Amino acid sequence: MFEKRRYHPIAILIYLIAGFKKWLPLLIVSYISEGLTDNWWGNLFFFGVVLSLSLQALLRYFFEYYQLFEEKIVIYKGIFQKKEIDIPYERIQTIKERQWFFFKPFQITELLIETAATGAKEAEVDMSAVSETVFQQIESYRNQHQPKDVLDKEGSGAVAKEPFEKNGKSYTITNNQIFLFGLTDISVFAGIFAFLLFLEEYLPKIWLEQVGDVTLTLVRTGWLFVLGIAIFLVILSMAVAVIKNFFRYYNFQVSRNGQTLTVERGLFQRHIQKIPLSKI
Amino acid sequence: MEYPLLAKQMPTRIQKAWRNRSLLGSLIFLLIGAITGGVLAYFKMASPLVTWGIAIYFLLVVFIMIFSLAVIPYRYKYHRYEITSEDLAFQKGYFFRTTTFVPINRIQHVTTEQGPILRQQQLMEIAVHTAATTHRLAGLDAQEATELRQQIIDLVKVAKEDV
Repeated sequence: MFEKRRYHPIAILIYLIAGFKKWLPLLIVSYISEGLTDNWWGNLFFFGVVLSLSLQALLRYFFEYYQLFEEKIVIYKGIFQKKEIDIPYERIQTIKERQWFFFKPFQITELLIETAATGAKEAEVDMSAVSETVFQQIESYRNQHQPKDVLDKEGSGAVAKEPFEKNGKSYTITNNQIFLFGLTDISVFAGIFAFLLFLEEYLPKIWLEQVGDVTLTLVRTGWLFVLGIAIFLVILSMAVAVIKNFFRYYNFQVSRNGQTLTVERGLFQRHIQKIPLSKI
Repeated sequence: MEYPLLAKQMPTRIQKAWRNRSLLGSLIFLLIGAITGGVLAYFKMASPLVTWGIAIYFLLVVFIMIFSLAVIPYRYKYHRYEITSEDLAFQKGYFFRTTTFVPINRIQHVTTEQGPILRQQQLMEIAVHTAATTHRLAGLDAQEATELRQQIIDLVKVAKEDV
C-alpha cells in the first residue's frame, strides 16, 4: 500500500499543452482576422488566456491525488466538489499508457485507466504523470486478481493452439509496411481539403486575391507547369501521410504476456495498451 | 399491501443538506430574477407584459421552493438502500416509488462526491457505476460512506464478473 500522492510535477506542463491545443485554432483565427497588427486588446486577450490556462493547470495539479491499495486504485480530485473514484483491479478493462518522448528521461508515463462503465469516450481515470514503477505496480496487483479459471479453461481450448509465444513478441509492423500504408493513405487529402476551406473562410480577402493573380500568371506560363505543381502537391500530401503514419505507428507491436494482450505504437508519443484476455 | 421498505436510511442530517440546497438554489433564481427586473426597469423596458412575466417567475420560484421543502420528509423516508452479498438495492420516490437492484458482479467502480453543502453536514454522495447506468445515494455519513465503499469493493473482489 502506498500513501496518498500527487502526480509528477511535469503534469502541469501536460495540462498547459492540452489547454493550448484547445485554444490554438481560436488564437490563430483571432490573430489573423485582426490583420496581424499589434493591438492592445489582442495582447490582453492572449495574456488572459495564458494566465487562466496556467491557473487551471496549477489548480488541477494541486488538487489531484492518487493512492494504490491492495485491491483498488483511488483517485481524489475536485476543489469545492470533492470527488473520489474507486476502481477495483478486477474491473479494469484496459490500461493505456501514453509516454511523450520528453517523459522518458524522467521515467514518467501517463496512465489512462478504463472500466466498462458508461461514458466510454473518456477514460475513468487519467493519471497524467506518474512514475513507471506505478504502472508496474498496478500491473502486478492486477495479475494477482486475474480469475484463475479463465486461464485453465483457455489453456485447454482454442486459444492455446494459436501461435502466441508466451512472453514474446508475436506481431510487429516493419517500417516498409508503414511506408506503403502511408503512400496509400488518402485520409490526408481530406485534411488538406478542409485546411483549404478554412483558409478561404478566414484569411483576409487581399491575400486570396493575390493568390488568384499568381495562379493566373502561372496558367499563362503553360499547362506543363501547372501539371508539375499538381504532381508536387500529390507528392507533398503523400509525404505528409507517410510522416503522420510513422509518428503514429512506429514500432507497432502486439504481444501476449500471460493473460494480458499488449499493443504498442508511436514515435514521439508512445502508446501502450494492455487488455486482459478475459475482458475481450 | 404495505410498500416494502429497504433496511437502511441516510442519516437525518441529509434533510438539512436538502433544505440548504433548495434554499440556496431558490435564492440564486430569485437573484437572477431581481437582476433581470432591475436591468429592464433601468432601461425603461418594463412594459406591463414584462412586469407580469417577472411576477409569475417569482411566484413560480417561491412555489417550487415551498413544494421542495415540503416534500423533504417524504423524500427522506423513501430514500433507502440495502446491501446483501449478491446485490445492492436503491429505493427512491414518494409519488412514484422505485426500487432498483444492482447485482454486485455488475458493478464496475464506485465514486464518492462531496460538494460544499454536503461537506457542511459531513455527508458524502456515493455513485455506483455499472456498465450501463449510474446509481446514486444522496448522502451518507463520511465514515459510513467509506465503509460501504469498502464493503462494495470487497464484494466485487469476490464476485466473478461476466460482462
